[in-house]
Amino acid sequence: MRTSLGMRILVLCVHAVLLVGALFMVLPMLWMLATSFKPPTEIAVWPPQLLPQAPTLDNYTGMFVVAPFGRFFLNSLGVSSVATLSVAVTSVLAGAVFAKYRFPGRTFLFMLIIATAIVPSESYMVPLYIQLIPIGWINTYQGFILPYLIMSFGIFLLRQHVSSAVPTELLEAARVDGASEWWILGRVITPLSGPALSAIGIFAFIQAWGAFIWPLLVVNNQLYFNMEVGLTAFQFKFSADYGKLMAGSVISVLPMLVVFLLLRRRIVDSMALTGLKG
Amino acid sequence: MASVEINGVTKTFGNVEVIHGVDISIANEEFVVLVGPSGCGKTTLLRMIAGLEQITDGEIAIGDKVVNDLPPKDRDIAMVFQNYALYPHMTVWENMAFSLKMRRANPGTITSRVNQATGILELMGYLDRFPRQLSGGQRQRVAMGRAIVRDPQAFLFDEPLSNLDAKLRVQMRVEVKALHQRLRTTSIYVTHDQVEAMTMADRIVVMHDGRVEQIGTPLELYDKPANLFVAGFIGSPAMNFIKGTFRREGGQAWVEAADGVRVPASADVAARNGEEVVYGARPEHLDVVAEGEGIPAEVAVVEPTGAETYIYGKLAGVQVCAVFAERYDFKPGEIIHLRPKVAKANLFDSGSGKLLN
Amino acid sequence: MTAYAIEGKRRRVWRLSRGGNWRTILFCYVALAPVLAIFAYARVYPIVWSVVLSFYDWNLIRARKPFIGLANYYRLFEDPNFLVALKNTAIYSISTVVLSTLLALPLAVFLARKSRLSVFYQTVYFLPVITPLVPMAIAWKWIYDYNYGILNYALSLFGISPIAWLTDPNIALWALIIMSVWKVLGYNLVLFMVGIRNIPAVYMEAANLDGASAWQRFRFVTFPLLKPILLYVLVTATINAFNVFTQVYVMTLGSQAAPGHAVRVLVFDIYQNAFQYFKMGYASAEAVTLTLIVLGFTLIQFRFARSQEV
Repeated sequence: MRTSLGMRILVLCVHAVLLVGALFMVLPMLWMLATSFKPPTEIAVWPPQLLPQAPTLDNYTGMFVVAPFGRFFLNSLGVSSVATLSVAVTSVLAGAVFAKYRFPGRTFLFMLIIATAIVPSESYMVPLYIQLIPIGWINTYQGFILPYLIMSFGIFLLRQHVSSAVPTELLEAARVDGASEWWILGRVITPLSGPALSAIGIFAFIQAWGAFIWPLLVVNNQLYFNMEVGLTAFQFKFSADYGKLMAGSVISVLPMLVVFLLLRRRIVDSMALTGLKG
Repeated sequence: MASVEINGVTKTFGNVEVIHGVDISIANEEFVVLVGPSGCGKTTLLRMIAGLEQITDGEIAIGDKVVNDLPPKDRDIAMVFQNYALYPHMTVWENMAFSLKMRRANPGTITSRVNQATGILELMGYLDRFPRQLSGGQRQRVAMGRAIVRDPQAFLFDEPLSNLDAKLRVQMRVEVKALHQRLRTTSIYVTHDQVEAMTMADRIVVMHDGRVEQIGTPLELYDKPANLFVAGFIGSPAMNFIKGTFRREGGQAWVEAADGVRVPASADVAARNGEEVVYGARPEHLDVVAEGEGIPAEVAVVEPTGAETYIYGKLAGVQVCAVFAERYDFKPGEIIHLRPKVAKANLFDSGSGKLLN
Repeated sequence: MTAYAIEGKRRRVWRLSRGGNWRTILFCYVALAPVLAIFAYARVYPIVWSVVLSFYDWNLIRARKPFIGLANYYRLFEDPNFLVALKNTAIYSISTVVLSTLLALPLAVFLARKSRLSVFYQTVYFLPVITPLVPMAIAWKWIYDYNYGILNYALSLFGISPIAWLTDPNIALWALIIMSVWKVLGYNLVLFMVGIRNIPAVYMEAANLDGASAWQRFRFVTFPLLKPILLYVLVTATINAFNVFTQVYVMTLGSQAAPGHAVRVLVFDIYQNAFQYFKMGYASAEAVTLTLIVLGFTLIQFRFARSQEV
């Protein structure tokens, strides 16, 4: 059967729409990138030019002078890395135990963990803040990172994965051979959880990197700002300096883009898992 | 009701030609089975008839109308899929009524047709169920019901019984055949199971590597296979093949196999003296004879099934199988003497594999 | 080995595989301890606390924190700030969810067929999802700029006079909606694509043979089978939309601020009540109310999906 002319036109229209949409998706980032290389004279102009006539790195170098962006970046990196590690370890620990072991309270505890995921974090940030006051964790790294150390979704995903990908016979064989449960956890279950772990790691990293509301609340000492909070604070102080703002934004976005482009498959595949369970 | 004509049909996927110029003529009301091993192209051919695959070259006509450029929905055919393809979110009733609903038939027609199909297939009481609540056999019947309701020019079956257990398969085979006898709709049925082919078909099309090996009635294929492939494919247990050289002397003929063994053959065979041939004898055409009257064979395994006895052994250097109605009590290692029924034996050319008789 | 020894080993192996003996159970608790501890402290306790807190007149800087029952909640529903925030957040959420879902679905249908092009588009549309919100909000703020933003420039090419995207009270919310749709469209798109790809092709073939046109195939086969994913998308999108904060904070505070009321959202109101006015109890009541509203919407969506099933 041959496609009629009507079909051909429709397909062309669809492609046009898709293309325009794609441009719309990418334009803000490109604009951000272009502006970051523009000298101040080229930024607040009308009509606005897409490309810088005299591209400069001043915004990038100058950025670190007006605000400690280097520190902000390192904070972001450090917090995200620690959070990722913590989420990975806790997810596999809890996920494996929930998947392969029976103990009193198993169902209740698991349901509790899932239930807490449904309540959005914005709802309990106030009491959590109050909790940190007496133990002096306000304005500290510990206070900052606390909510990002665990991820309900991570535990859920790992449990799912361990249930299906790790045959119980393997564990039984190890036990009969005299292995301890810890050994089994570390040497049998964890290696077999690779795909799920890397997916969770990516999500945890992205979530921790983009942390904003919580750090905004908990930390008002500049030393502990991450990129997000730092950028926002800087935006209010130097609201006219869009060149440097864009440079800072680019630096904040770039690592995420890199992560995404390298691990796109992993990210999309694990999203598939979430959607299917729902 | 209609005939289906397949003329010179070729199919290419990318650079690979998978079907090489196939010609099949299916008469009105005929039940034709396309059979062959996996990958022989039978399903691809069926899908081309349905319109689910493009025809690279050649023509397919349904009821005298060339359908090459027609989309599936305009070809007036119905298909029963291997996995039934019942819409999981629709009830049995909705599944069967779907095609009529799509064509905006009036509700009265829909009701009467669906009820009629329900009656034929004995699905009363299941109309409100969802596919997941049905057994394999019931799902299969709903799939057929969906096809019947369409009242198409032809039914296409894509290995519909493969997913059923053995016992159910036998039962459904009978039901499908009975359905055809009742409705008399032209049917094209694809399967890899030669037993299904033999038991259900008016005619069988044996396919292999994208080519038609032979077309004929089940018994034609059984008695006079056109080549080695068909001979070995049809019939279970498979035909015994012994390679050798054809010898004709005086009024006698035989095939000289390994170790100088002489396998008796018919003299009116279109084979030349000294020609390399393959001698084919079906397991049930081997007789146990006294020493000197037949070929010695060493017994390896004896399988008594109650109704028959299967003897596996080595004859003229070749593994053979013999089936007897009698209950022989041979022991492994024993030497027995077998003689093939010459009239039923088939001779094949060693090089081309074609039948020589 | 004696019969008893064999029996004993057998029983031990059975016990081990059932995980029933006390040593294994102890292991489970020990392994779970750190995770459960963090969960208890950082999730369970605060959630419970937030409900408890909402019944108190709990001010951070005042010593007296009396129990006042439902007073906070009554006060909420007479608080103009809260009511405005509720209205804004509702409009914002419904618009964002509807737009991002309605746009993503047809795109997903077109891109569902696997091809290099679909991979390209999938990647490009997903990029906004992966970018951190703050820098992109800052970038969008510049795009929306009244005097120098490229959006107004693009409009001027069509002869449309510049729009005060972020400062006009009637437009500001929509500026936020557009930005948010931009951010989440890709996520919904990918989820829908996964859902469509998971529909076995054979259903499409059967529908084709049954005489269904492309639209009929979508309406009667694809869409019904997408319901679970659609529900998931709607629920998560609603939850996220109602809890919006970052974009609003970044884009509408500061010198180019929009008038606070036009884009006041619920979480911002909570934030302000808690960390500018220190009325923790009140803010908690607001947070609890927000959670209940979101839960309510979620239940409605679930109920609606269930009813469609029959």
